[in-house]
Amino acid sequence: MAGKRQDPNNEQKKTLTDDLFDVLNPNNMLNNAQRVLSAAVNVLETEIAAGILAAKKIEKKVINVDDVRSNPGNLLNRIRKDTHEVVDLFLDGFIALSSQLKVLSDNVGQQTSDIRFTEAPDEKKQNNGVTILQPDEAVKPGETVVLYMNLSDDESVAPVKIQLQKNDLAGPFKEKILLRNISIRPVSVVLQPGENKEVVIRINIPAACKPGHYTSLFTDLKNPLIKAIVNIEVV
Amino acid sequence: MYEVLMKEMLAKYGAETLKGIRHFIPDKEPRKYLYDLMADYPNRGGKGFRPGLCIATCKAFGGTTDLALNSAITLELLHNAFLIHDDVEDESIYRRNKPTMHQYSSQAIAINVGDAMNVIGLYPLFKNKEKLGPRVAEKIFLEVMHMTTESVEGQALELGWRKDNICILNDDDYLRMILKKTCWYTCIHPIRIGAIIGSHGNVDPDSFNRLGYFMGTAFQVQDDILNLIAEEKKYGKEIGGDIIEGKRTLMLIHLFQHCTPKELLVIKKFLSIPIRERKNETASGILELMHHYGSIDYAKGISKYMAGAAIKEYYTLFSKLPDSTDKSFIESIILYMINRDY
Repeated sequence: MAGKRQDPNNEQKKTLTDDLFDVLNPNNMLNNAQRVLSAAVNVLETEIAAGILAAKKIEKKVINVDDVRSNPGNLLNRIRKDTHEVVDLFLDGFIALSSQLKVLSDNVGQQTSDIRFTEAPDEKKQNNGVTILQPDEAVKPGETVVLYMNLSDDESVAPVKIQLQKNDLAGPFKEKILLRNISIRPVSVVLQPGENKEVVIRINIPAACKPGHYTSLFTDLKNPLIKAIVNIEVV
Repeated sequence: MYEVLMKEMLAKYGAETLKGIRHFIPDKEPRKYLYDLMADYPNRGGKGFRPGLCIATCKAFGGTTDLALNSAITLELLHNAFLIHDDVEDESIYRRNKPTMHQYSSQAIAINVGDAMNVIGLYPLFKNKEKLGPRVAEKIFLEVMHMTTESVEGQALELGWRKDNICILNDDDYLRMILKKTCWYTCIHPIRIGAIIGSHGNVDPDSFNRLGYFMGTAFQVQDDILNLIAEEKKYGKEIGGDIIEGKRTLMLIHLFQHCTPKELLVIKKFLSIPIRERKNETASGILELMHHYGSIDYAKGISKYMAGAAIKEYYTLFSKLPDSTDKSFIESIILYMINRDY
C-alpha cells in the first residue's frame, strides 16, 4: 500500500526527494492517482460552474446586474483552468518533486492565451471571461438543442488550433445527458490571426431525460483559458 | 525539520489570532452563559490551520500579519462556531480532550454561543475597511460569504446522508461533500483571502482553488484516519467516534462498496438506530471490517495522492515568489501530509 517505506535501514542516506518518491510509491500508484485526481478536478469544476449559475440567477432576482458585473471581484469570478490538465498532473507532480521544481513552475506560469470568444446569440459572457451558452427557452425531452459559439483570434500572430472538449451534462439527482448525445462541428478549427469561425454544438435531449438544469464545462484541448459553460433547462 | 517549522508557525499565528479573538469578544453581561463560553473552544488550543494559512499566504505575497489579522480572526471565530454546532449535530462528547460545550452546558446554550460567534465574526470583516480599503474589504467579505455558504451546503449533504441512512455512495460523492464541507473553509478561502490581501487585490484568487482543494482533502482524510487509529489523548476526541456518529468518511464509503451484502446489512442496521443507542462493540466490528477490506490503507493512499498533487500546485503558484519563512511554512504543511506515517 502507498505510504509504506521500503527500506528503513537506508533512510539516513536518503534525500528528502528520495523520501517523497518512496512515500508516493510510483510503481503502482499512477492509475489510481490519475483516476482520483481526475474525479476530484471534475467535481471542483462542476461545483464552480453550478455556483456561477446560481449566483447569476440571484443577481437577476435581487441585485443590479450591471453594477455587479462591473466588479471583477464578484462571486462570478471563479473559474481558472479546465479539467484535462489533470491527466498530466501527477506526472508533473513527480517532476515537481525533483530538483527541477522551480524551472518547471516558471514554465507553467508563463502559459497565456491570445484567443477570445466573440458574442453569439446563444452566448452570454461575464467579465471574468467565462462564456455561458444556453438556449433562450427551456427544452423538452426528445428535442434537440443547437448552440452556436463564435471564436475569434484578435491577438496572436500565428494560426491557432482550437478543439473543444465536450463533457457529460450533469443534472439533478445525478442525472446526466451523456456524451453520445452531444456533437460539436467542426471537431476542431484553425483560426488565422484576425479570423472568426463558428462552432455548432448540438445536444439531443434523451426522451427519458428528467426535468431540471443540466450543466457542463466545455474547454479547449490545449488552452485552459478557452472555456464555456453549457446550461440547459429541461422541463 | 519541516515539521518543527510547521508547528512553530502554526503556534505563532494561532496565538496572535487568539489574542485578536479575545479583543473582539464584548466585555459585558451575560458572561456566564454567552461571552465567557465564546472563548472556550478557541482557548482549547486548536491547530490554527486556517489563520496560519491566511496570514502566511498574505506575507508570502508581500503583506503583513497586521493586514491579514482581522480576516484570520473571522476565519477562526467562524470555524469554532461551526465546531460548536457540529458537536451538537453529531452528538459528540469530546472536543480537544474536554467535554463538548453542549455536554457541560446545554444544547440550547451551545447553539446560541455558536450563533453569537457567527455574528461577532462579522465585525473584523467590517474593520477590514480601515486597514485594506473598501475595494479589498468588499472582496474579502464576498470570499467569506461564499466560504460559509459552501460549508453549510456540504454539511447539509452529509447530514442528509445520515438522516436517510444512505449507504450507496462513491468516491465522487465523498469528494464533492468534502470540497463543500471542508476544503473551501479550511484551505481554499484562507489561501485566497491571504493572497488577495498580500497582493492588494491584484491576484486571481481562482488560481488557488486546486491547491486548497487538494490540501483540504488530504487534511480531512488524514484527520478521519486519525479518528480511527490514533491514541485518544493525543487526538483529543473519542477514538472511533466517527463510526458511532455514522460520519460518511472515505473509509466507510469504501467499506460500503467492498463488504458482503450481509455485512452491509449489519452496518446499515447499526447506522439506522439513534446515535446514543449504538454499541461500541458493533463500532469495533465495523473498524475491523475497515482493516479487513483495506479501507484505511485505501484512504491513506488517497490522502497521499492529494498531498502530492497539492505540492505540485504549490510549486507552480509559489515558486515565483521571493523565498521566505512563510512560503516554507506553507510548503511544510504539505510535506508533513505527504510524509505522515500516523
